[in-house]
Amino acid sequence: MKRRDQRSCGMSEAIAAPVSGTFERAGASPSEAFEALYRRSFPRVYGYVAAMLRDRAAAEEVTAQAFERAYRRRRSFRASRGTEEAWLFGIARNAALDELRRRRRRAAMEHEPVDLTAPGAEEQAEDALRREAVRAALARLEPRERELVALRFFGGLSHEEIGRVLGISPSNAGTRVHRALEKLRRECDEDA
Amino acid sequence: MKTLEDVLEEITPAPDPDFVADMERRMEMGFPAPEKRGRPRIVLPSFRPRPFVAAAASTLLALMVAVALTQEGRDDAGSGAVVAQEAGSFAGDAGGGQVEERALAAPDATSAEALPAPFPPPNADLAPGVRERRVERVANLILAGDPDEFDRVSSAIFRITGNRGGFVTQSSLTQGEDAFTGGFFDLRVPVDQLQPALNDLSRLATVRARTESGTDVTGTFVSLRDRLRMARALRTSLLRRLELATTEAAVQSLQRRLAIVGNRITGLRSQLRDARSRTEFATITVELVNEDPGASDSETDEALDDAVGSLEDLANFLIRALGVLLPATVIGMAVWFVARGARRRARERSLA
Repeated sequence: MKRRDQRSCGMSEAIAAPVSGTFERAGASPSEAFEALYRRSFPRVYGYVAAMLRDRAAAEEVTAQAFERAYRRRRSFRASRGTEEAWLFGIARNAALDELRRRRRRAAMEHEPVDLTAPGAEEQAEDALRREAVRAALARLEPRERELVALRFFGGLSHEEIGRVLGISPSNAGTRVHRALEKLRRECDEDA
Repeated sequence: MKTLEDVLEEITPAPDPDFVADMERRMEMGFPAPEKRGRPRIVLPSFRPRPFVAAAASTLLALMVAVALTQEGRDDAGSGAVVAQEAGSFAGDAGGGQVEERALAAPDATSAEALPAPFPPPNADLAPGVRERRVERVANLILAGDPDEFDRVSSAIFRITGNRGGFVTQSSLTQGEDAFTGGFFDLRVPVDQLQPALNDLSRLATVRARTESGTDVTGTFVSLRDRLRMARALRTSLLRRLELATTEAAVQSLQRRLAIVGNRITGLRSQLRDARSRTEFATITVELVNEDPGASDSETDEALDDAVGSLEDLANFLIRALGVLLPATVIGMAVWFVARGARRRARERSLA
């Protein structure tokens, strides 16, 4: 997935710099490795959680909670069970689902997350309309479908990583993502 | 024209700069957990628990094994005490004398009823205050030697016993396929010759074990003597009454009782003679065994036996522990899986 490595989302280059490999790298302590994971995945985790919860304050709280949990459990990570991102997104997903279950918030999004990549005034109105249409179509998707889109495009995970997070096979994850994307496309076309 | 994927990337929710700064600060601090209001936080020690837990478990295991072994030793000691008590009960007198007197006093008593009890009951009179104590002495020798020498040793045992004024009451030599495999001798020697005889016998072969014991039978001896005296007195009395008897019935009754008393006197004499013999002659049992070629390694063998025994004890303990731990673990795992599945389903339901 090319976007995964290209995305910076307004963070500094140090934060967005991708690092591959296992959690405990040669010459790096678990804390240092975790910091590297944090810097390259924080905005993506936030994007995914925000799309799940649709509440800025809750998304911030859950994102922070997910990183705290991951930091405490950083020694329990096993590379044989998947990538660091899959492990981290699994923790974030559980935290988000716990939050959803606890607060029973679904549809009411009080505050739309601020789009830090929003274009300036010079951008064409057509693009703005297009984004609004996609946002609206995304909001109409089923939560499970929205989660798949969020994992794939906001979280930047591969099909294999999505499969790890959701507990399904990579091919199944790919099929589900494809179906969710097609549904999203149809929703957008209907709006248009 | 932008694709849907491009637009999705553009609308990705991005964190607020203040939140980003806050997370940076938290990252620098190592993500401290937020303080929970109203609930005291339990601070766990920072050490890695695995080695500590292993050491604690090993110590606990060793303690349990030690306790089990100690308990076993106590059981053994307890059974030894019982044996000693049983041996000691042989001393003392029969209160049977009173039973006999009652039988004799009854005119219709039979001779069987009048017989003295063969073994005195426990806790009988120990005859305190008697100056001349009667002690039955028993010694046991286990001699280890070359089986080819057993025949010579056997002859020497007979010779030594005779020289010390004693006699052999029982002897046996066990013959194996090629040679003698063992032997047993039951000797009687005068009490004052016991130690010299034991010393002579000990020189015949390697002494594997030598035990000596003494049992005070003064009570039994005195009781037998008193009962014999009383029986004689009774016989004298019956004889006088017989002389004065005028009716045929009285004569017959007295004659019947005299016969009983006569039998009793004979039995008591025999017992007294036997008791005197047992106290005047010590009993020596000699056991001949095949000399173990690996006798010099006996300590090593013993140590190996102990090690094997310890391992067996440990294995037994582990089996018992597994018998408890295994079902508990299976149940615990089942509960954990069920709870985990329920929690997962509850989470997934929040997406429905």
